[in-house]
Amino acid sequence: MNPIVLQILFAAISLFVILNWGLILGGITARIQARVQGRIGIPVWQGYIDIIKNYFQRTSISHGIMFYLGPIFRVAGGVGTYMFIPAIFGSVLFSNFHFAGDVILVMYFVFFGQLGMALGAGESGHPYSAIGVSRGLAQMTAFEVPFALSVIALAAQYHTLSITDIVAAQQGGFVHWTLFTNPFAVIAGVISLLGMNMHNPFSVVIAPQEIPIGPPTEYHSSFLALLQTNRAIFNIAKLVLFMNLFFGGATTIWGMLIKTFSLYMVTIFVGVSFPRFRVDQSIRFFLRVPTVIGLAAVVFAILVF
Amino acid sequence: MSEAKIVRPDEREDKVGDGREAVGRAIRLANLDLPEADRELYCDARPQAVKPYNGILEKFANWARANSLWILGFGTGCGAIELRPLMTSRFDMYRYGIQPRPTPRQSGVFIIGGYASVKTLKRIVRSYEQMQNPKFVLALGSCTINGGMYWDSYNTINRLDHYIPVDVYIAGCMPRPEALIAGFNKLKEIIRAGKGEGANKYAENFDWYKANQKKVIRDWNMPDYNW
Amino acid sequence: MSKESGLNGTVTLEQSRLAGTMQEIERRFELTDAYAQRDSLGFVTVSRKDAVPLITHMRDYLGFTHLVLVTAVDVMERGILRLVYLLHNHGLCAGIGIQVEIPRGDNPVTVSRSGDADGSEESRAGTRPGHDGDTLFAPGLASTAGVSKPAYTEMDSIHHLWAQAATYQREMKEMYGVHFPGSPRIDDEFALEGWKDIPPMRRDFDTLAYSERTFFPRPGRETHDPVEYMKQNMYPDEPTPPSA
Repeated sequence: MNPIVLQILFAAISLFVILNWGLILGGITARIQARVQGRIGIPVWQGYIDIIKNYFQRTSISHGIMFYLGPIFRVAGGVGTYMFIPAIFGSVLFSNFHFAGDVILVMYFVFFGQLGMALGAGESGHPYSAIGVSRGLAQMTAFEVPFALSVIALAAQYHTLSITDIVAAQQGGFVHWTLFTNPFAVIAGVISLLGMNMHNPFSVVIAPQEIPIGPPTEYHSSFLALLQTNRAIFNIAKLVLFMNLFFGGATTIWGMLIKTFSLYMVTIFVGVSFPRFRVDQSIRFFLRVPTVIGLAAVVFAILVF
Repeated sequence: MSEAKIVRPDEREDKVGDGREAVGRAIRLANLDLPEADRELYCDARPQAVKPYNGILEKFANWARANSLWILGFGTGCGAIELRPLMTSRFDMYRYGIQPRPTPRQSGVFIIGGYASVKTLKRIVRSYEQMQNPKFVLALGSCTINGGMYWDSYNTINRLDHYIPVDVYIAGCMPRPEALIAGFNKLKEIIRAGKGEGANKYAENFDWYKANQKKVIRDWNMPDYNW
Repeated sequence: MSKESGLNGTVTLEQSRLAGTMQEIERRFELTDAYAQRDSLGFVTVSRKDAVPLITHMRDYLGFTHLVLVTAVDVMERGILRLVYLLHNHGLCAGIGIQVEIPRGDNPVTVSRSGDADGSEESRAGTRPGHDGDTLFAPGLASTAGVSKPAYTEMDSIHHLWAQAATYQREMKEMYGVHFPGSPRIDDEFALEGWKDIPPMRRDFDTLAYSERTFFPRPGRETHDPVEYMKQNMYPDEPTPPSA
């Protein structure tokens, strides 16, 4: 078979695996959070049922072409983020299209989904959507700063922007992980991961109690089902990216599952322990200490490597 | 999934051509006096009944709808006080798949908690009409059944099902969370049996419901159908 | 001392902590009636002319700076509405209710918008062009309507003493038909939207008949009166006692 067709088939399979893992991970963490609160919580497979129910809604209201395209952009952002990251280093099935893109392209896709969503939510005409959009983009601009700085530090350290090469440089024992060779970059990156995942204290954008649910206010039925599907894919794509950049990547599928789960638990631990920041507080937070840590990471990488 | 209707304001089936002005004046549309630019803010469409799927697909869809009930987070009356213990650790409605959502666009179950004053009824109608087909209504308390404690009041309605279609009544004043969970289980049975067609019933008897609503809601400053 | 009502609780006003306050009030104003409900709550009745001066004096000089509530009692038998202003003194931890009797009014009077001398309602945001007089967008705002709510009687306003009195007075206008000239937003709808009948808290408004007329009572409603039940089931042979 044509190798590119085979690659596409493998990429589709790995995307399907990621989608399922994302939905199940959402269910597991919701259940863990519920146990922390002393209750039982939703079933682990509730994510599937919600998406199926939304697809089977009989009517939906569209507000125009951009409204229709908003979730499509979001899913494109999520899938695009994942497609250029090698999920499992050395595996043929899970290496996606890693040869065609690098870290900068992946960072672009992370931002792209939110922008498309902003345009779509804006066309819905709902004033709460507009507020949610402005908050979300403001916060996103803020947490991109420490993230970009840590990526620059990695580029200076490993002299490459290709994710596969960065993962390859971290093989050979866990002392070679970026976590131990350049801890500043990892700290700055993980703090910006907290902002990316939008749990407390940075959840003011999409928490259901906050100006109803932010950008997805007017989205329902199949639009919302698309957004929920994307949330599962996008979550795992971000976790896999961070795993590859900072924690040595994964060579087996169990390694990937365990590492992404542990990384997500960091977000959840912080999420259940803190209340919410306002948007101006979170912007100020990101532009202070994490930015300084990111700068320290760059200086450290240049001096040492 | 391909049968979901996407309705755009300028693509309705009942759109009249150039004679809109004349027709509008004849039946007194709510948006007639507005300048042209604002007219589409006030729609004049009617709800349409949507035929359910056939056979196993509808059974599967009903199973999904029954196990993922998204309630609208709008506490309309004193019944809302019983929703809080329902959500928290002791009674935990989340394990039944019931989750609250903040907007009527995304929710499928509307819980009318207790008495509905005329002022609240206007907002209930407005929120109910923004929900998507299929939608279900759970009426708590005796005030929705026969007026309850406020049966002789000048400001509260006596029978909720004359204004919006109701699926399950839960008697009590206020029913405890255990009674609410029993009501939700009954609602799930109704949905699985394919009988949760409140939205279609509303569309089919739209004129009757609207006449009843307009009889009590005197200052009608919104479209006839708030989709 | 209680002149007319003969109502005194366990203490009289001279024995309560309001004794000093009562001396100050009686030196300056003519009270029709005064009694103590308990040690920390007394009620006085004044004429309509002295009502607002008394309230102002109590707020400014006697330390009754907290307006608790303004309410009304419809005494249909005597043809009056009794307004009650409850004031509280945080220094004494005591309250005084000032009762004013105003004629109840049998005929409602509606003024057109320009008829209000104070003109405070006109300063509200104007109507949309082309919507003069109709209540399409904001029926609750008095400025979009051409006429005020019908008023049955009138009383001086105290919104210049406490700003929140305006809300109470808005409620009084809607529920009892008492107009307070100059009170801001007095004709805005308070709890009833689109109400066309007489103010519902007046005693000549038959709320049960209105409810049966407007809302759909469900047939088959039963009432179980405990007295009737006991009489029928437990004491069928006993004679009916005279009603108290």
